[in-house]
Formats: sequence, structure tokens, C-alpha cells
Amino acid sequence: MFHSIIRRNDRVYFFEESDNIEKLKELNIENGVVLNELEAIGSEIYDQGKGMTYRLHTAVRKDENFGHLIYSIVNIDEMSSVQGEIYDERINYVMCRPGIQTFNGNKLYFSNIPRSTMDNLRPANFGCFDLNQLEVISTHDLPDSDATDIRQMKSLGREIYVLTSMNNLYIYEH
Amino acid sequence: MKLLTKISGVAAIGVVGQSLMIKKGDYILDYKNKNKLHKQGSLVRFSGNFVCLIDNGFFSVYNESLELITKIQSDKVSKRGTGVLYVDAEDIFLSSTKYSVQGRNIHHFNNSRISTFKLSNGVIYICDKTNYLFCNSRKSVTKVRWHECPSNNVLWGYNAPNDSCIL
Repeated sequence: MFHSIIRRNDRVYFFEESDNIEKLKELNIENGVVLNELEAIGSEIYDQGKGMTYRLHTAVRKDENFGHLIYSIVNIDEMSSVQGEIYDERINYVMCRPGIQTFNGNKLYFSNIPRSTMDNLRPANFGCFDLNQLEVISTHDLPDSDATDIRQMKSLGREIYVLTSMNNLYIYEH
Repeated sequence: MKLLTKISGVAAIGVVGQSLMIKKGDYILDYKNKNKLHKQGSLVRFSGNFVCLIDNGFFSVYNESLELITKIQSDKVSKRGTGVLYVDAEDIFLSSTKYSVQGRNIHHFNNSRISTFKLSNGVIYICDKTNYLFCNSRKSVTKVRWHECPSNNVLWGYNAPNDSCIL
């Protein structure tokens, strides 16, 4: 299965998953020659300025479901990637989806659905993952106590926009 | 991280060019410039440099200043076409399984299998649901002839107007 097709300079890049192995392929569009390939996990979250894709999501484990955050940063120009897993007790459930993750400089902002119970419903929060330090540098609870889900996240300039399931838009400055 | 403000009753947001667009009630608001567009009961999609709407039987496209660029009858756009698949700085690309739609800056794909596509530097790269990749010149999208790849691992290029496969 193909995804995340990227045109960069005179090359085309795309990710292909086959037999549970995902690869980034670099193609010369003029002659169709595969110039390079790299085993790497890609994403639709593409920073055109830096030529990088960012993937951040939680792992699903049988015995321990919470807090394990998997990241993959792929440098298209250098055909290199950095992958890893960290544990952070502030993290519960993070999905990698462009609508609810947004980057700004070296920061990747992501929606995190907290662990709640019927007796203790916690509001949604969002976190900031530092793409250089490769760690979560902050999390922010939304003041909207009824919002259990973040529907959209966007960024522009120094502002981060967070739209909740309760139709409240919060505008932050970082 | 400093909370600047809270706005209630927001249905959707989008970054269009260098503006935050907010769909709130019957309006689309440009947060910074305070432009406002009244559109009752419309479907809206923010993408790239455009605000796209379906309302009152029309598919309308507005620019960053909320000025109308294009308006076509929406019954020419299939339900699937209500989702704009890709928008770049100049063009809007729709997917439709039934109708052929042409309008200023609007290009149309009549292929129900498309799962995703990407446009860049005048070439369109398409991945369909059977996992084949295609590409084509943007200038020929209304005359696309679809070519299936002989192998899942081959990216085909198809370059109009010469109709010559470039791979």
C-alpha cells in the first residue's frame, strides 16, 4: 500500500508498506529509476520547508496500554530517519492524523485523549513534542471541562488553534 | 503556552493562506481581518488558499479574502465531490463518479477508485484503492486516460499533451 506521495526537487518520494515493512522510495520521475530506498515509517504530516515527515502515536500493548509514545521522523533529502519510543505518564492515547496534529518550527503539537472513568471524566488535552529533543516538553489541559475530544488542531505563525468536540475554539500563543 | 482567547460555537476551522477561517453559525469568519461571509446551511471545506462551499445548489470557491472566484451548479458535483480531494495555490481538484465538472480553476477526476492524490509542480500523482500509482499533467486532467500498472511497485507517469508515458 502506498501513501504520502511527495514531490521534492526533481524526485518523487512515497512510502510503501508490504509484508508489514514500510519503506521510503526515491524515484527519478524522468526515467522511473528507483534511486534509493529506506526502511522508514512515514506520515501524511509533511513539513515542506524542512523536507521531513513526522509520525507520533501511542502503541497498543496487551498488558500495558498507556503512555508509550512512538515517534518516527523521516528526512527526505538525506534519506534518513529517526525512530524511537518513549514513556511519558502524561500521555494516554495519541493518534497520528493531520487534522489533530500540527507542527510549528521544531514543535509537533498533538491531541491526547486522557484516561477517564465514568466517575472521573477528564477533559482532552494536547501536548508538545520537541522534534530535536525527542521528548514531550509540555501538556496542556483544556479549560473546557466537558470537552473529551479535540476535533481539530492548526497552527499559523505563533498561534496554535484547538477546536474541541464542544465547538469551543481555543487560541494559544507559544 | 499562553491562552489568548476562547470562541464558542465554532463548527470548523481552517488555515487558508495566511488567515484563520472559522465556520460559526451561518458565517465564515476571517479571524484576523474580520471579513465575514454569510452562508446558511452550507458544507464548507478549507484547504490551501481556498474556502469551498456547497450551498443552495451551488459549489462555490472563495479566496483568502473571501471573494468569490468560481461558482458552479452543485448537482454537477457528486456527493463524493463535496469533499475536495486536493487544493493547491491555483487549482481545486474534485473527485466525481458520475458527472463531468469543469469550471475555472476546477479539475475533475472521474475515477471512483481514487484514494488519494497529490499535486506538485504541474504533475499529479495518484494512488488508487488498488494501490496503483498514476501521474498526469494537470493540464490534461479532463482527458485522463487511466493506465493500470503491471506491477504494484511501478510508478507510471503519463504526460499530456503527447499522451506519452514518460516511464
